[in-house]
Amino acid sequence: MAAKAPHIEVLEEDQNRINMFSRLHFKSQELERMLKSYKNALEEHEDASNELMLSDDDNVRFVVGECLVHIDKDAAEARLEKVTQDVHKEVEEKTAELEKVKAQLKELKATLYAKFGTQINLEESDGP
Amino acid sequence: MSDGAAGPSSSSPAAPEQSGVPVPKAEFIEDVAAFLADKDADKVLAQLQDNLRTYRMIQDDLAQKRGRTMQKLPELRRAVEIVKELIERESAGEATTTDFLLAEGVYAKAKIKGAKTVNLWLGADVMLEYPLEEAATLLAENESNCRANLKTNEESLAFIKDSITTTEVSIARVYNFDLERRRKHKDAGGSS
Repeated sequence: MAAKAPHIEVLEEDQNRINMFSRLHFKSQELERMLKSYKNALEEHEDASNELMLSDDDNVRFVVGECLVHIDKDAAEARLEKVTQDVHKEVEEKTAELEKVKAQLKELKATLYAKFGTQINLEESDGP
Repeated sequence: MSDGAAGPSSSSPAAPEQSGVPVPKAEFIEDVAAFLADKDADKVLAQLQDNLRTYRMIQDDLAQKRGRTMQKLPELRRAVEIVKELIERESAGEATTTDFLLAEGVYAKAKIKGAKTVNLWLGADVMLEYPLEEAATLLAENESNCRANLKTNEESLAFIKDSITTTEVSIARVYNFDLERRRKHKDAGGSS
């Protein structure tokens, strides 16, 4: 039988920290998912922009809503630029938020491990 | 002797949340020893497991709602965009030439000029004609409601997650305490 671990009392503040850790962990996963999809969008915009530059055709179909609206090449480039900027802005915001969340997670981990040591597991797993 | 009914009454949740009916939060057990002093640990554990099941059901329900809302949001966004586009062009006196979807993979070219209204699909086989500005306002409102719902849903999910985590920790603590209690009882040579 394994050596008996010393009994460490779980206080309400510990429970709150564990709950907060759980919430933040979920949030960080959400943010990473969003950033990934923004990254894909930016790559697509990049491709579109390159195609536009190479194309001779002055009539470009730009996706607005679910329609393909006919606009001229210059207007299309301007719009694409704007849309790309918007995504960049979102990426900046979400990245900053993710950094904050990660810092909080790190702090909580340190505090909880300091108190509970091996009696608590805060690592990534396929758990609930 | 107590009937072994588990937990402070507030830790047994009411019926699963029905849009806004609050479900009692899982209570943190301050002092496990005092809490279990007069209770049957197995019954307590059974009640806690039961609570956990209810919380998880609610969590699944909320997660599904969230999925549906997240799908609707881009659709609303697209609707807002195209109506705005029409408004801009109409006020600039320009025609809008667009390829629109006839069927999957089949598009037809259309020229829209002098459009004053759009038809909005309201669901339940109902489509209503709206002047452009009104349509834009309505769609924007729907989008903002959608986002608000998403936020409420996220808060409810976090709340339920807290209750789940607290209950899981309580189960571990009760189980460990009971194990320890039985071991001490046995070591002391008492009849179990």
